[in-house]
This record gives sequence, structure tokens and C-alpha cells, in this order.
Amino acid sequence: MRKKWVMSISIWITVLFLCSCSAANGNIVVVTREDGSGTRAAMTELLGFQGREDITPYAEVVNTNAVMLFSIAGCDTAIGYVSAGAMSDDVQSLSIDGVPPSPENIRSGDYPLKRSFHLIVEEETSELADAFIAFTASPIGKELISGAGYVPPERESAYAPEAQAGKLILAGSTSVAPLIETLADAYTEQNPGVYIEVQQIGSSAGIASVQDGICDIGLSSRDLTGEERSDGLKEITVAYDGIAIIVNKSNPIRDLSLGQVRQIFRGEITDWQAWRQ
Amino acid sequence: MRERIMQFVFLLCACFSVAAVLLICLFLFANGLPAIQEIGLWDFLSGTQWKPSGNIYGIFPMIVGSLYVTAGAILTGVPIGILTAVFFVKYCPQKLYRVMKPAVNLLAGIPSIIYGFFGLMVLVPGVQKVFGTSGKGILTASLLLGIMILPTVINTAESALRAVPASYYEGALALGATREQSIIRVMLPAAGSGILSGVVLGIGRAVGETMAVVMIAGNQAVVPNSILSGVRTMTANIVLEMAYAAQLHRGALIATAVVLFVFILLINLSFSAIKKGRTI
Repeated sequence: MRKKWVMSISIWITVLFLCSCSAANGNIVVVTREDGSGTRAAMTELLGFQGREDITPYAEVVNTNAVMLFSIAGCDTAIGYVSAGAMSDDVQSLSIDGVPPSPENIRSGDYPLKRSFHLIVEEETSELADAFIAFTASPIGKELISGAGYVPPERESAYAPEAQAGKLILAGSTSVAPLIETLADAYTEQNPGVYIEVQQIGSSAGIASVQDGICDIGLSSRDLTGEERSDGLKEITVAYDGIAIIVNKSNPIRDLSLGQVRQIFRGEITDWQAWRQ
Repeated sequence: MRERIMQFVFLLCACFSVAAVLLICLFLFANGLPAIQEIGLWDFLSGTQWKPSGNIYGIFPMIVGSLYVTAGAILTGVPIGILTAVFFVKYCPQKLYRVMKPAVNLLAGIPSIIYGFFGLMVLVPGVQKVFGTSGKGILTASLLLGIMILPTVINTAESALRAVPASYYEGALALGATREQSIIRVMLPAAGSGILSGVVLGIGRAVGETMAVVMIAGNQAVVPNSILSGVRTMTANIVLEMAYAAQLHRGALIATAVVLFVFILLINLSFSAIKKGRTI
């Protein structure tokens, strides 16, 4: 009686293992960011997903750029996406329609997966905030932005250090924050009286903080919604970022078309074999 | 008079934790119930799609995910835990015990994020090599959670076994049973309810575990179809999306927490029920 039990359970487990094993070989492992992430929102928008269309629910979900890079680096058959500024050498970025995600291609718009980083402010801003926003579009600021791997904005402004003092709180997107921290460090060096605090709480939370008056400037990697705009918020583009499609270094594929990327993330192509013929 | 003051201080401290529990309940239900109402209780619990961007909130995959992962943890952790406890009580030499017991206790003290890293660095590549999948999924999470609940199971099972009167064991031996027979047929059943309460505590830990699971489970919000497919637990669902969530999405996440809370409540109730009925 007991032996029968053990037998049947072990047979069951073996069958389960075998099924999943044979189905899995060579399969594309799609890795995505969590719902609500600015990078994911930009990705689905840039891929042209409409209405109910979404990234396949069978995709693995990670909630930071770092874990994304780690997951891709650790799995031969994985594909994912990450902010171009957060790229690392542990993974391989793909060209889209033959165009690699270089800063030049992102600026010119030849690389199709391009999004904007915004500073979110209310209609009325403090002098302190104005000065920092001007700094981000000054020649020094633009140089810092390019240096960090992003593309500086078109707007230009003159900037000179002033004898200001006070505290600025910036809060929002985890994708935008590293760039802003670089800018803030340079800014406070030139304006020792100003103290800048950068909080990484996510785009939506950052926008809500501006509305609630908890922070001076919000950081967002997505555009404002109509509702948020009608609440009296406005966005100022601080930089452009490409979204790099990344695969494991052992993957021989270096180039995909936008349509293929779309199909992979929709879950319509599930096997790398499709390219290996 | 002095005694009265101290009595009051003690009472105040005791009330503090009760107040904390009540406040947490209040917060959860006040924030979660409106969302459940808006989504509809049945749609929320039995919906198999979770698409916040499309305003579809069904947490059935997460409930199933939590159950699968917890069951897996019980399957891996409990047999090893109980047998370890038997070893500690009946076979372990004193010298070895002095090394092994602290080691088990240390296992309980390791922060879960470190378990997560261990899983990501060791278990995930291992499962990936053996089965050819991405390595993240039910199996990996079950193995890791199995390790995480070991100390709970071992410690409660050990004290339950030690509480069995020596006469049971000796009586069995005197009747001609071997050591193994008397342990498995007499001592373990006698300590049954104590061991079971350890298992229930382990279940509680496994259901509530978050950081470690989120790193190694894959987090797909779909009902898993094999032991290797990725899975999202209720805790993972909350921690993954809370940072960016707004409006109804946020409400749905808090409502997930309400469901989780009810689960934990049920587990605790069954724990006290077992304790009440225990004979030793």
C-alpha cells in the first residue's frame, strides 16, 4: 500500500520533469520589467503595442535594471531590455534593423527605441529649482549627460553659479536618478550653498510627490498623462535615452528587426531556432 | 503603589503589540476592500489575468503560485527537518550536537535577501544546467524555501520528540522493536501534534517569504503548467509593483495583501487548533 504510493508519486514527478524539459530546450526566455515601470511602459509604447496588446505573460519579471542584467548574463537563451545608460559589458546589445543603440543613432532617431527623461515641475517653480533646471541644459550639463551615456536635450540655457542657498528635493524614476545624481554632484560643487537630495521612488510616485508638494522636482521616465497635465504639472526633457535590447554574450544573434523584437516580446516567436536555419 | 505603576507599564507594553496588529488590520482592510469592491471579489480571486496596464486584476495565478511554492517547500523541507530532529534527539553524539545545533540556529538568522542571492548564484544556474530552462521557477523557489523553513521544523520537532516520555521508547524496545521501529512507529506518532505545529509554522514562513522568492521565482503572473515554469507569489506581486503603482493598481496590490493576511490568519488559527488538541 505504502510502496504503491511512493511509486506513483515518483513516476508523477519524473513525468513532470520530462515534459517540461523537452518543451524548454532552445526556447527564448523573455525577461521583462514589472508592470508600472517606466522602462516597460516606454518599451511597449515604442514597440507599438496597442490596446490590449502587452508583453507575453510568460515572460520572467524582474524589478530593477541590475537584476535584469544579471538574469540575461546568467541565461544563454534569454532576451531582455534595459536603459542604454545602464548597459553593462556582461551582456550583448542588439542592433535594431541594423542600427546599434549608440548615442549618435539615438540622437538622430535612427535607433527606433528612444524615450525621454523628464523633470516634472508645477507651473510655478522656485528660483532654486529654476537654476538647477537651467544647469541641466547648459554646456557643462550637456557634457555631463553625454558623458553618462545619454543624449542631451535640444533646449539650451545659459548658466552661471549664483550665491544661492537652500535645499532641493528631487524624487522619482530609478532610471533617471543616476543621471540626476551625476548632475547634482557637479551642481553642488559649483554652488556649495545648495543641498540636493535625490530619492529613487519610481516615476509615478515621483510625479505624485510633486503634486503633494513633497518634492521640488519629479523625475520621470514616462510622459505625463492628460490627467496629470490638467492638474497643473509640466514636463521638461532633461535627456534622451535609448532602450537597448540585450541578449546573453553566447548568443550569436547581433541584429533583429523591430518586427521580430515585437514578435518575441509578444510571445509569437518562442524559439531561437527560427534564426539558425 | 509602586507595584501598581509597574503593572501599568507592563500592561502598556502588552497593549502596544495588540494595537500594532489592529492598526495593520485597519490599514489593510480600509485600503484594500474598496479595490476589491471595485474589481469584484470573485473576479479578483478567480481571475487568471493580471494586467494592470489594461486594468485587469485577477490574482488567481498568484494564489496558486503561493500554494505551489509552499507545498514544494514542505515537500523538501519537512522530511529533512523531521529526520534531522530524530538524529538530534536519538543518535547525535554530544560533541557533534554542540556544533550542529548552533549551525541550525544560524540558518534561522540569515537574512532572506542573502538566501535570495544564494538562490540566484547557486540554485538558479544549477537548475538551468540540469533542466535547460532559465532556472527560475517553482522548483528553485521550493528548494530554497525548503532550506529556509528547516530551522523552524527542526527546532519544534526536536522539542516535541524530547517531550515524549522515555517510557514510550523503552517500552517499544522492551517489546522487541528495533531502534528505528520504536522511533518511527512509536515516538514520531506520539510527538505528532508538536511536529505538525512546526510544519504549520514553516508553512507560515514559506507563504510570507518575499525577498528571496522574488529573486528566483521568475515572477510570471500566469498559472504555472509545470514544476519548472516561473511563478509569482502573492508577496512577490506586492513587492514587485508597489513602487510604481497608482490608483486602482495600488488598491489591487493592497487587496492582494488582504488575501495574504487572511491566509496567514488561517494558518495561525490552525496552529492554535493543533496546539489545543495536542496530547503531549
